[in-house]
Amino acid sequence: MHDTRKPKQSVETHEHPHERGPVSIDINNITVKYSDGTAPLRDISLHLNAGETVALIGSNGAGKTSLLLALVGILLPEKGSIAIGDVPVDKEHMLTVRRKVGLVFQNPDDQLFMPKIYDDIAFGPRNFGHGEEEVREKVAAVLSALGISHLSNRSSLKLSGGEKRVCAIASVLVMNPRVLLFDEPTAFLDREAKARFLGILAGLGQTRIIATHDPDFAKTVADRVVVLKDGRIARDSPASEGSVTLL
Amino acid sequence: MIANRVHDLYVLENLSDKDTPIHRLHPGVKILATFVFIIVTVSFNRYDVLGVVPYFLYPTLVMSLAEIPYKLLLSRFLIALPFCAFAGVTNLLLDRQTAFVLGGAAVSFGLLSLITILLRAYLCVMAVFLLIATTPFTSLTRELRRFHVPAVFILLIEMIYRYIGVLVDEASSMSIAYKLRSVDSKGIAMKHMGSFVGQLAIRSMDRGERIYAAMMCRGYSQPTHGHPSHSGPSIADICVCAVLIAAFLLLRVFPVLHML
Repeated sequence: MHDTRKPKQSVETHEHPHERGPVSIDINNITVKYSDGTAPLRDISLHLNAGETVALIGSNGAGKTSLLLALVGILLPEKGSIAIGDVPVDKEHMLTVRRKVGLVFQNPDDQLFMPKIYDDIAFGPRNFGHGEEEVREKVAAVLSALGISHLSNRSSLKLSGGEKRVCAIASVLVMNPRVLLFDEPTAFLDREAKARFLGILAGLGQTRIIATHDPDFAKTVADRVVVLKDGRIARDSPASEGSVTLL
Repeated sequence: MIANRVHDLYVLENLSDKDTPIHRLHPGVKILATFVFIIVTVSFNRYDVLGVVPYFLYPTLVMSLAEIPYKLLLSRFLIALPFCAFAGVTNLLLDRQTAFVLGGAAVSFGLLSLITILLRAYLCVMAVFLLIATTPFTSLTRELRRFHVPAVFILLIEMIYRYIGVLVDEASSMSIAYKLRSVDSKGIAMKHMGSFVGQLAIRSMDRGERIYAAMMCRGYSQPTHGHPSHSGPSIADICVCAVLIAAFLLLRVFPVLHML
């Protein structure tokens, strides 16, 4: 069910300027299947309040990445529905969904593919039709906010893992998404880079889902911890409640 | 090492950041001038060596004004040279009729056509390299859209440009992993080449899919969608374009060296 088709153009692509705050997420009994019949997600239902941070934990193959991909419409559910605020995640509303939801991939190399960091960060705003002057302003603002202005003209090939991670986050934040999804954000990071990432995370106000296999990290950053096992939700509890394991 | 090649791929593109009169020209002007230059250059008779020579002024002038290192472009032209030379050498063998005698030595039409092919190849390749080295890639594709080049061609150019680095990157990682576990480090043995290339293709496809997903997540949809608004050429840009095209055409109609 990999959706490689183009989103339709007829749908509204520009949101109102006042619509900037975090939004809720509603996942209603979704099942996602690949073309070979395997189902990475089965009967998943989950609700996130606006501004809430949920950690999605589970071992390899539990369905964490698939759930994140379903939230941005890369994987479309065979049954059930997903809504970001009041916008359903379907082919008709794909551009609006992708404007509202930002996904930071597990491997920053998948996200940074342009010759220069500047172009990588400008990629999203350019696709959404912003003028070059506006793009320049947005990129400069996000680079400055994350303290990576000096990397603007560098190639991602020459950056450290931590620098790449921050640049990948910048490439998503520049679009001012209302929901942020992180796939294993602490992978490839040393202690110092991890602490820096936590600092960045603390300064973000969006509704957030963070997929990780690190229970301690999950408890540190999230309001709620959802444990996935074999494509199903095995546990959903406040982060403060007891110890969290991968089950 | 293959890894260094990934960076080399984008060296020309990195030069497009400079701030020179050539870099400041509108991308449309540069594309149009390059297009006309190539058409005019290849339109010469295959024995007309003298007619092509004045066109060397264009790349030389642009290179100098744009502060592009000559050696860098020449080293890249050398990659294309064997292909051009191969085509020319065939003429050398097949077309042995004497064109004229120079200092007692007979110069065949085959030799003239070989020289012309090499000169024209040099001029065309240099013109394209200079276009890339003086214009950011995004401006190039944006301008091609303005010229109504079919969207599918632009998409292909963009994809090749983005994925070539991915392919080289994958090949580099696999090559290092292979060398670290091979008895000698002379490269990949022929008997392993089949599986190496097969694995490379699969891994690149896999990686390419992930990159494409990342692109779609950031609003990438189709080649004609959402390209940034941009201004058209200024009067000065149009004048430069007109002068260049007029010069190319005049040199074609009135070959200066023939007249001397």
